[in-house]
This record gives sequence, structure tokens and C-alpha cells, in this order.
Amino acid sequence: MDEGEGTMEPQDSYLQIRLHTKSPRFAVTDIPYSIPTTTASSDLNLLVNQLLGESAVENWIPVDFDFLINGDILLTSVGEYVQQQQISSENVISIEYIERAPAPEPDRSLEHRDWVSAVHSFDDYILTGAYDNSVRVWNSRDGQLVLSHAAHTAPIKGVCWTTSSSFLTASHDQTVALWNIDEGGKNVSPRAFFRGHANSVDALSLSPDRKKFCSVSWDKTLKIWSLEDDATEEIAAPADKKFKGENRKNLTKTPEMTLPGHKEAVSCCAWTGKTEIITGSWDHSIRIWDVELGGVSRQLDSSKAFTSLSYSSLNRTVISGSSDRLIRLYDPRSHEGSVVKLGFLSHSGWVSSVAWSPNNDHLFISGSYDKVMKMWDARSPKAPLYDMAGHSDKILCCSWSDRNLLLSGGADSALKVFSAARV
Amino acid sequence: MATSRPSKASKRRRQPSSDQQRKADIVDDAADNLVSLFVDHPASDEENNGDQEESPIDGEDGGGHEDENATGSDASDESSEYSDDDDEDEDEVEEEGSDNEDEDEEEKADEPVVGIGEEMASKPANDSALAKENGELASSSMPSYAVAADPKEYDFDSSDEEDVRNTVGNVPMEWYNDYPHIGYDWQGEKIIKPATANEIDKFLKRMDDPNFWKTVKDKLTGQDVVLSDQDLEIIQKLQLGKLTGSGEAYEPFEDIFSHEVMDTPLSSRAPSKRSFLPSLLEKDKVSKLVYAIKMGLIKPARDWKTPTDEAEEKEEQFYAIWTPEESIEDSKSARARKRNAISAPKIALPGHAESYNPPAEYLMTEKEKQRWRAEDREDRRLDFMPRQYKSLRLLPAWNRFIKDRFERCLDLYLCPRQRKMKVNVDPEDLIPKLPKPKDLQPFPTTEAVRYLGHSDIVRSISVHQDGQFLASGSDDCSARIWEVSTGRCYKTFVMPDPVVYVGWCPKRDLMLLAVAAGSSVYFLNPEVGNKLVSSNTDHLLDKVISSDVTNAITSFHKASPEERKQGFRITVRHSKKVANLTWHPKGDFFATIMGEGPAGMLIVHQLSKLTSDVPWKKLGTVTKVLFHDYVKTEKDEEEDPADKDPYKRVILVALQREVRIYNLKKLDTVSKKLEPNCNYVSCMAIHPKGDNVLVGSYDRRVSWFDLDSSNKPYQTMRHHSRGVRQVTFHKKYPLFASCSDDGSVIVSHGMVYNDLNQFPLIVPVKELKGHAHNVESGLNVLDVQFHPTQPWVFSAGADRTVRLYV
Repeated sequence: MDEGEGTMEPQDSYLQIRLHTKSPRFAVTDIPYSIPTTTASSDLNLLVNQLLGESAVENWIPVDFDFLINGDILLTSVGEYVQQQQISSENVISIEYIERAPAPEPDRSLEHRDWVSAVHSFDDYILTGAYDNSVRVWNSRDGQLVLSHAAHTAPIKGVCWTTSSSFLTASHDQTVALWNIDEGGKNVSPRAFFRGHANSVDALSLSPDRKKFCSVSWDKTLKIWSLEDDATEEIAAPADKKFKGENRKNLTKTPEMTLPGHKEAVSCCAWTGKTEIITGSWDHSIRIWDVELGGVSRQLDSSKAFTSLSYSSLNRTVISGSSDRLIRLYDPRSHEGSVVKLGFLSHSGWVSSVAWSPNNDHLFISGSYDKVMKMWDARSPKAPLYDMAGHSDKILCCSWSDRNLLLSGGADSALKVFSAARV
Repeated sequence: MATSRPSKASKRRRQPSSDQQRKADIVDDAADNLVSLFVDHPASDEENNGDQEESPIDGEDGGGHEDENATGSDASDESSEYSDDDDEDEDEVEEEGSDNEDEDEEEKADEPVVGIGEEMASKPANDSALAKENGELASSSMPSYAVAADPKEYDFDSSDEEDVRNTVGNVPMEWYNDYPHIGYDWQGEKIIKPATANEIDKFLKRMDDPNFWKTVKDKLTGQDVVLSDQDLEIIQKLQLGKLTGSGEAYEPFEDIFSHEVMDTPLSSRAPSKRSFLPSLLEKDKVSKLVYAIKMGLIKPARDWKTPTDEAEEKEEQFYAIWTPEESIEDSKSARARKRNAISAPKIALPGHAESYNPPAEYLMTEKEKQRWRAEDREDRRLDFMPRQYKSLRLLPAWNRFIKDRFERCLDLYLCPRQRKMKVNVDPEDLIPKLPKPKDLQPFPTTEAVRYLGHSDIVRSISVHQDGQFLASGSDDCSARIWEVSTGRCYKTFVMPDPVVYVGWCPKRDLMLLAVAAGSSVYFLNPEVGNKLVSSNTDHLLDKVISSDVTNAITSFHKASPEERKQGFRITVRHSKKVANLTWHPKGDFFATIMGEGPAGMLIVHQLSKLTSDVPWKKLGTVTKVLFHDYVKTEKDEEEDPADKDPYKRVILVALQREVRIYNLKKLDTVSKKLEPNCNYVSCMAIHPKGDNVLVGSYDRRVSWFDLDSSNKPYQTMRHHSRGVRQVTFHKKYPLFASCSDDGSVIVSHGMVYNDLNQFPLIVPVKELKGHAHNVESGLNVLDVQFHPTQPWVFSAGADRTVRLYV
């Protein structure tokens, strides 16, 4: 595998490469290597491991690497890639190698009574909302149901932990509720009902400072609510008294801000900064709202209705799922080139849910109506890293917890948990 | 002038006199001379005796003759006068020029006298006079000769006597060989021989004069005479022993009597006297015909031909095939044919290889021979093997002669005779240029969500205006509400009968679902979506109906508290099965079709007043009803200026074979009648703008009508292979869809332009298949509806599913 071997064969079937990595643990000496054009990433993996093994002091435990050429993960052989990308084979090709994200392990399946429509996790606790109007808290360590509460009168569409003991639920019954888990951890008590949406609330998102949250609804508006316990916010209940008990009267809260603008139902939202919210709608547009100014700061148009979006604070890009098979990656700050920076095409149904990894700026997961959740590397748009099958019906929601759990809930009334090792 | 005129005059003077004897002599002499000439016998010098004084003598003599001739002949006075004048002039000239006469004569002698025949040809008038004068003589003895008689002698003599220029008589002229003269003229003067040219002059003359060969010498006068062509002809005839006249000697004998049976028998009986008299009957007939022709009663045939003429024409059909065709005026097609003609293929010219003794390089080596034998006949470069023979006589007969001839004939026979002008039309070009479906996006292409839950055929679907919920009605006696985005069934309403129709109330601020099942129409409040709207709906309905109301045809019932819990609000009971229902776009009126087939009755209900009405008692089989309001055009306002309503409200009634459009203000008259030209109209849809209507029929057709243009379909689409069940327009996108029992939903781009001059653009863009065929019922896709805001289409199938295509 050294240069001497390379000269034995015709020159044109060999390529000059240079290997480098960003992690000092796996660094090898920076000299060019001549490899056959047919070398695939598995061969490169062998090479790097051999090099590392030679230089290692102790016994080297082989590590799987992924190889990147110009930021793209190498899926084919080096020669094919060079041919596709029309890179000059005269130059020394710089190949970066990274430790491969290990395959997620299926952990457990949490069975619900009805379709799981929303999931959010905080520490070891997984919060799920379901179509049976109930919200459930699960312990991810042992898979035990911690508590279950019939929080709403209509299916729950969004859930979110605010603190370790309180969470928000958004529902089809047009309300968002803030719940407190009691000391015992078995009972849930309402702290506030956020009323104001005129139609089903489809998603909510907590602001980075955890003092506010926003909710989007079928009534085409985005509303921003305060989580602060201000008594002044409580006013008399609106007209329909049907859905609330007497003791809830003083729990009602009204929106801090209502931002109309979308022409169709708003289906997803995410805070992208302290005062910036991004929303996706069925009117085929993503809008970036400035909360302080109370208006749209930017609009990104598409040709499909959006079902979900996820913002990564690590790489500051947005991925979206929409009513087609394509996952789209947007850069809200970029004004140049095409609006859609990358498209990830592998699903065979609607992409119902997408989620960035909270601690890796390249990885994200997507759940689709084709019953498969996929893990992607943003650098490899051609093919996903891993497919996670298991659901027997549509996946409606997915989440990547900060404990590196991949959660997906679906129309088969199950929440599937996969554990991904931290890269 | 002075030199030529006397000769002319003298010629004229000499003409009127003819003597057979003289003629014969002249000809005989000329013939003798000619014969000697032809045998190339040089003319003897001795015979060159001239008579120099001949002309003046003739001239004087001729004057008297001329007068005689003028008086004797029947020529007109004018001409005779003219000739007299001429004579006087001539006399003067002669008197004046008496001194020059000799010279003139000499010149004349030098110049050969112009040919006799030519002379005659130049004077036809004199000729005729001559013919008349000698009429008897000529016609009696030698008619043909007389006509062609040479008048030359008349130039010399006008009398009946013999040649008077030389009076020596018929003596051998050799006697005068030794004398300077040749004889004596009539006055006794010697006729001096003309000067004879020496041999050099003769030779030069022979070389120079083209007429030398036909110049003869008059023995009597010794002058040179140039024979004319006619003279030559006569001489030739004489030599051949023929008659010298122009006529045929032996005319073909026409036998009066023949062996053939004749149409009219000839008899020897003398014709009767009467046969010489003109027939009165014929005269009468002819006069009648003449009268008729005059009056224009009959028209003479323009090209009236006798049978003999026709026969002649037939004979003329023969033509010389080898004459060049350029002479014939060609028609355009004939010229094109010629231009496109391909000449017959030519045989290749023989080469060295064909020689009996070809050069060595043309002979095949053993290898080549083997290869040649191994090759197929078609592949061989040479179709024979070159062979060498020592001599041509050793060459054997060509054994493939017959085959070669046959192949050559085949070549000639099979070769194309004409270059055919073909128009190469690419079939692709004949297809109208339609935009590619790719350019007409968005339109639904793939199945996205399946709504599962019904346990029997789904008959009808309806999408709420908000686009969040979908209602469906099925044969399993239930109506269901689905969440569009997830396929979740939110509500299920159990009905007592199979549901034939579900429809959301089009009014935006009402959450009301109409469900037609059995003989009733149920109005439900599904309590999904906006709660305020739901509660408002309940309030409104409570106001409308406080107790049951019964009409002549229907009865409106308020739901009991128990039913109310299930979602029911109002029930409209009919006397017969309700086949269909249609909402008015305002959401107050709705129409139902009660009963099926020919018994179908159209009933229009008003929900707010709880009334039912039958607008038309006898209408025939009503299959579908559709309401539509559209903004009035100028034309509509002209028709009814009193009406201040900005909308024109129409109702479309689909009968079995036609669609009638009524103005809701004037229900008694049909404002328009559409003829889709089908056997059974199954469904119809109106474009949101109101100018275009789609009509689907069970005989597989979907017809697009432009209401502004015609009662006939603007375009008929036959894309389905079985009956069409439903057609629908998209409210926002230029899309329409049709579904059929063949299991397909066909989505088409149907762009209607605001420009009235531009026709709608209709392009089928996608065929959506997926619904399974229901074997029991033979049904497949029963309903198709578009999402109100997205370019999505829902289809309800007999396979118990509702599907969403995006």
C-alpha cells in the first residue's frame, strides 16, 4: 500500500491522495498516497486503521471511518467519485476521514393506546402526546410509563418540556396547556391554559431562554406566549366555557403577540434565535419572523406544503419535511444561490417529521409516512446513513434527545426508541 | 433601268403565241444538249452561232402582236391600257437608245437567257392568257403538256410560223461551220455567230458559273440558254421514257360494279324525270329546320362530323413515335412526369475481364477462384470467372445467356419508372403542440395518504373548505370525518341507510355536513375544526328549526337530544330514496333528486325557511343538479336591466342526454341547453369562473363545454375505458379530474384564460391508479374531489378506501 506498489501498474488507474482528519486522536502522517481508482471507503478504512495501528503504542482497536472528499461522504469508489465530480486526477486529492457515526441500536418500543403524534424528551424522561387526548411521560432508562394524563378534549399535536417538571401541550381543541408534575411525579396539575387560537394548534416551540414559547395553528397565525407567571395576564375566559372547569378560569392566558401573515395553515415552528422564529406553512412558504418587530423578516418559497422543520443551533441551518418525499435544507442567512441548499431524497412517502441532532452539526433524523425513520449526514445527500425500520404504520413524529435517543412515534400507536452512540 | 426594261417588254410581247411544233423542237434540242451535257460532252465550239439582231427585230414585231393580243384576249381594259402605255414608253426608249441597241444585245448575249420555266412562273397572268388563247389546241391534243408548255418560244416569235430568227430551215447546221454566220433572219440579213469564248474563258466560266452545267447552246441562234428546273425535269422524264406532263398516266381504275353488296343498288334503269326535280318534301323539311335554327329552337352541333370525318380522325391517331416530343405542347403534369422519369438502367459496359483473352492480371488465381466459388452469387464482385482462350473461335457459347437476358428484362421491368415525390410528414408534427406536463406543475402525482376505516364501498367524499377535514360516506351506513394530513378518522356517524352523498355546507361560517342516506337527508355538526364556527352553527340551526315542519313533499325534523349528541341536527325526510344532493354555493339552498331513474324528481330546498319546492314537474330523468352563481356580464345586464343583483344565478340540470341551464330568476325557460352527445350523463362540474362546464357520461366520455361559444362540446376526452363517475374542477389551480369505473383518476390541466379570444388549454397530465376493482359491484372509483387550497386530489373507491394524491 505504499508508493512503490503504485508504480508497478499503469499510472492512469492510480490516484494521489492525502489523508487528514480533524481529531488529533486519529491523525496520521501527512504524506501523499497512491491508491487504485477502484478503492472504496472500506479499503481506505483498512488503510487508515493499518497506518494508525503501525503508529499506535498499544494494540489498536480498529475504528470505522467515513471519508469525505470536498465535504461529501464517499459512497462509491474514489475513481467514480472523481469522475462524477470531474475533479482533476492529476492533483493530489485531499480526503478527510471522520469517525463513522455508529449504527443506532433499537432500544425499546413504548406502546400507546392511540396514535403517537408528538414526542419530546428531557433528560431521561420522554413526553409523548397522542390522539387519545392524553399526554404521557416515560422513563427512557427502564421504559416505564411514569404518568399519563388526559390533558385535552381533542388529539394532542405538540408537546414540549419547559422544565424538568413542567411541560406544554398543544392540541386540536385550540388550546395550549402548561402542566406541572406534582412532587410525587404521579399527578399532573394545570398551570395555565393558553387560549386564543381559532383552530387546532399544530406545533409549539420553546424559546431558547425558556421564558416564551410560540405556537402555530390551522387558523394561519403564529402566536407568542409568555411562560412567566404574571397574574396580569389572566383575564376572563372567552366565549366557549364548555371545555374548562370552574377552577381553570383564572388559569387562562392570552397571547403576547399574534403574527398573522401565512395564507394557509401553519404547521410547524422553531425558534432560531432569541427573537427569531421560523415557521412552515401549507401555503408553501417558510417565514422567518422577527419577534421584536412583530413581522416577517424573510420568506422562503417552496412548491410544497410544509409538515415539519427543525433548526440546528450548531450549524444554523433549517431542514424541512413537506408533503413530498424530499427533505430540504435551507440556510436562513444565505441570500445567494438557490433557496434550497440541499435535497435529501430517499423516503418514499411524506416526510412528516425531521429533527437535528442536538450535539452533532451534521446528523439529523427524519420520519416519514413510509414507516421508516432515517438518519442522515448533511454531507451525504445521496443516501442516508441508516434506516430505522420498526413501525408498522405512518411515522408522525420523531425527536433526537440530548441523551442521544432517537424517538419516533407513529400511527401504529408505538414510540420506538433507538439509542445512538455519541460521536 | 434602260437596259432591263426592253427585255421585260420584249418578253411580254413574245408571250402570246404558241406553237406545238416549235415547242417540241426546242425541247428536243434542249434535251439533246442536256444529254450531251450529262454525259460530260463538252459543248462544241462550232455550235456557238449567235443571232445578235434577234431582240430588236422581235421587239418591233412584238409591238403589233401585243396589240393583237390585248384586243384578242379577255384581259381587262385596264391591263391592256397599261400595256399600251408600256409599249409607248418602250418605243420611245427604243428610239432614243437605237444607237445603244447593239451594245445591249451584246450584253444580253453574254448573259444567259433566264430559264423558260422561271419566266413562266414570274408571269402567271400572261400564262393564263396564253392558256386561254391556246385553250382548244392544248386541251384537245396534249392537255398536260399545254399547261406546262414552255413559253420560251413566244419570246422569239409570236406567229404560227417556224422559228423566224433563222430562216435557214431544217438543215444541218454543220453546213455553216465554215461561215462566220449561222443563217439568215427573215429580212435576209446574215445572222452572225456569237463570239466564241476561248478554252480558258470557258474553264473559268465553268468554275464560276453555278448554272454552267445546265447551260445549253441554241443551235439555231448559237446563244447560251440556261435551262430551268422544270426544263430539267422534263428532260429527265424524257430520258426515263415517261410523259413529260404533270398528270398521272394511269389513274387507278374505279370499278363501279363490285362483288360487294351496296347499300343503294345501282341499276341500269334510267333515273326518272322526277328524280331531277327538287323534292318538295325535303324542301319543306329543310325549311322547317332552317326556321328552327333561325329561331334558336335547335342548335347546330358545333363540331358536327360525318362518320367519314371521324374515320379520318381515327386514322390521324397514328403518329410517329420517334419524332422528338418537344414539338408537342406539354401539360404541366406531363412535364412533371417527364422530369421525374427515370431512364432504364443501363447494362454495364464490358471490361477487360470480359475479354476472351484478358490480361493476366484479370485472371483469377486458384485462391481467388476458390473464394469466388465459396461466395454467394450476390456477394461476388464479378458474376463470371474471367477465362483465357487462345483465339476467339475457341470461345464457347455463353451458357448463361438466357439467364442474363432474363435478368436484364427483370431489371428493366422492375426498375422504378418514376421518381415519386413523397411528402415526408413526421407523425409527431400532426399532434397539436401541447405543453409538457412537467411544465404544468403542480398537479397530483403520487398517493400520499390512505384513509382506511370504511367497511364497504365509499360512495361520496367532500373536503371541508378549510382543507383540514374530509368527509366520506359509505355503503357501510356510516359517514366519517378524516384529518386530511394524517389519515386519522376523527368522527364516525352511523346512519340507518347506506350513505349516497356527503357534502359540507359551502358557507364558511357554518360547520354543517349534509349526508344523504336512504330517503332522508341528515344535517350534522361534526364539531371539528373551529369551535366558534361549530357553536355558531348550532345557534343558527336552533333559530331556524324549533319544531318539526312538514311540507307537501318533505318534512324537516329537529334532532332529538340523543341524536344531537351523536351530531345530528336536522333530518329532511323524503317520500322516496334520495339519489343525490347539491348545495347552493351560498349554503342556504340545496337540491335533492328523489327517486331513481326516470322517476327522479328534482326538489329544491331552502334550509333557512325549511321549505321544499319542485320547480319542474316533468323533466325526465334527472341525474345531477348543480348550482352556480357568477358575476354578471354586460350581456346579462342588457337582458335584464331591472335586476340589480350582481350575480347571475343559474341551476344546471343534467338529464339523461343533455344538460339544461336555467336562470334561477326565470325557471320556466331554458337559457341554455348543452348537448354532450352521449347516452347517459353521469356527472358534471362547472368551472369556478362559470364559463366552462365539464360533463361526464357513462359512455366513457368527458366533454368540456364553453358556455360562451356553443351547445356542442369544445373538446371531448375519451381517456377512460369505462363509464365516468365523477368530474370536478379545482377551485384555485387550473386542474380538473375525472374518475371512472376503470379504476383510474385522470388529472388534467384545464386553463381558462381571461382573454375571450383564447380557447381553454386542456392537457391531460396524470393518470392516477391505485384503487382496486370491486368484483361484486363492478365499481371502482366513485368520487373524486380536489383539496380546496392544495393541488391535491382525493378519490373514493369501491375498495373501501379514500386516497389522497399529491
